[in-house]
Amino acid sequence: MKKIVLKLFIIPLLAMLIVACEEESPKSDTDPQDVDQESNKEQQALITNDNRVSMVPTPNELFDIIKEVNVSYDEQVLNNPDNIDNYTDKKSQSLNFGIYTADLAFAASFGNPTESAKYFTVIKDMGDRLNINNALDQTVFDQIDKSIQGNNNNELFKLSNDTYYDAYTYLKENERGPSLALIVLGGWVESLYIMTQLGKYEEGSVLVSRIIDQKYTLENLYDFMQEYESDIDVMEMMATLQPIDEVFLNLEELLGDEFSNTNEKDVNLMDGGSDFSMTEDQYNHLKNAVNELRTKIVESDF
Amino acid sequence: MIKLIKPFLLFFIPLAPLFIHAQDCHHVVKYCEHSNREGYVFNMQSSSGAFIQGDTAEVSIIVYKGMEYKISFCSPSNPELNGNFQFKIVELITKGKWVETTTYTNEIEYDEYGYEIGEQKVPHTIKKRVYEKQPVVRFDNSEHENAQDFVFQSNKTRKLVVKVYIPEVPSEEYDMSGETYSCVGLLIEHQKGVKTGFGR
Repeated sequence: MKKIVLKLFIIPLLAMLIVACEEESPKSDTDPQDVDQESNKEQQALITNDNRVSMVPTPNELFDIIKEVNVSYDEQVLNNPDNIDNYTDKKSQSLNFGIYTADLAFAASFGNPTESAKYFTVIKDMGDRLNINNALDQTVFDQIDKSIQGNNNNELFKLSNDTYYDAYTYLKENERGPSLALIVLGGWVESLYIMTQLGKYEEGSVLVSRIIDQKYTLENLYDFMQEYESDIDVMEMMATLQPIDEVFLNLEELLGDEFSNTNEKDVNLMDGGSDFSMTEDQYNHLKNAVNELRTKIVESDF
Repeated sequence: MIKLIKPFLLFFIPLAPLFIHAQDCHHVVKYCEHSNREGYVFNMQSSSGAFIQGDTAEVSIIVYKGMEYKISFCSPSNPELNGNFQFKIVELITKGKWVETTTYTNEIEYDEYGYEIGEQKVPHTIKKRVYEKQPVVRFDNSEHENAQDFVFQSNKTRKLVVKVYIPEVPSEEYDMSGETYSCVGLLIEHQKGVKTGFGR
């Protein structure tokens, strides 16, 4: 008995010592400056662009926000899961993985569990084709089955978030930035497409205001993709965003109050700053531009 | 069997952050202390990275109107950093313009009969958006008793930049390991709406 316990302690301890020694060994013979350079190289693999990164909110976060709008679920708006076999190259697979993650977020927010299940299945399948299923833990899929059986939409929404995070981190970790950039772009385009299909233009409405907010996310999307623009697919896709960006760029800026911060019950309130307004004509231009790009992605027509 | 596993777990659980340190920093934010009990959910704009002590990092995020956000930092691998992060939340006033850039690809050139005659450089001109930014500081923890988190709501959707300085804190373990970077997590959490009542 004691021997087994001893082995349990000693073997991992020895392993740790070996690892520690391996890490220490170059230090003893090397100039400290070289060590710094080595660690810099290591660091550059993790952080890029001089420690500056831009993050893009996920489709889940966006749909969580628009729950305040009276939205009815419409399956026809989403990309048909049967289209998956049309995506045979990495570019269309990555883009449409993004499209399907947004569809899943929408289904999990507004649809029923059966609808969500279809999109979980297509994401798992697409994950296989993109070799990212190592990231998508089987236990998550077991939980998904349980939540579908239990008709638990809140849990499905959380799991769809987890699936996105796992895929995102896995691609980042495995230095597959270009794929990640295309996935994020696909998810963003589909989210905006769904939003523009949800209702008609109404000046000052919550929906239009949420669409205008995407002006900021587009800026971050550009910054995020810029990190991988040496990849021809990423560069090409960045260019396809131009008609959408032009609409956002031409929104009228309404100067607001001076910036102010107040503190109320331990919560800081940020106030002030500009707003933007969108005319019906701009809304229709945006809707067409998004529709055009989304159709290209879904039909894999580049 | 449980008796066998128990000492093993007791030995390894406290060492978990060291293993994170030894591997990589990609998941480090998952090990930060989350505020689920206060109703917050993990926001996917959270990020993890490896930093040299003394470094400054910037993360640009989007915060939506109608949400309450909580921003905090942690370093499970270098606990001596916890409580010592210096950070600012900056809002950028953005103005954009288009800039044209040209890149070249090599493509095979054919004559009028369809025979290869060599390679030619084909220019691809792409219009790119370039943004000019002016910063406005929204929060500076050095002006708030070195607070290690920031809870806020915004009256409109905004683009913010979280600037964090990774402090240089001497540590015996740090000096002995010879490792020059620390894993740091920027944890962003959110929940809906305004919280009112006796709890606040």
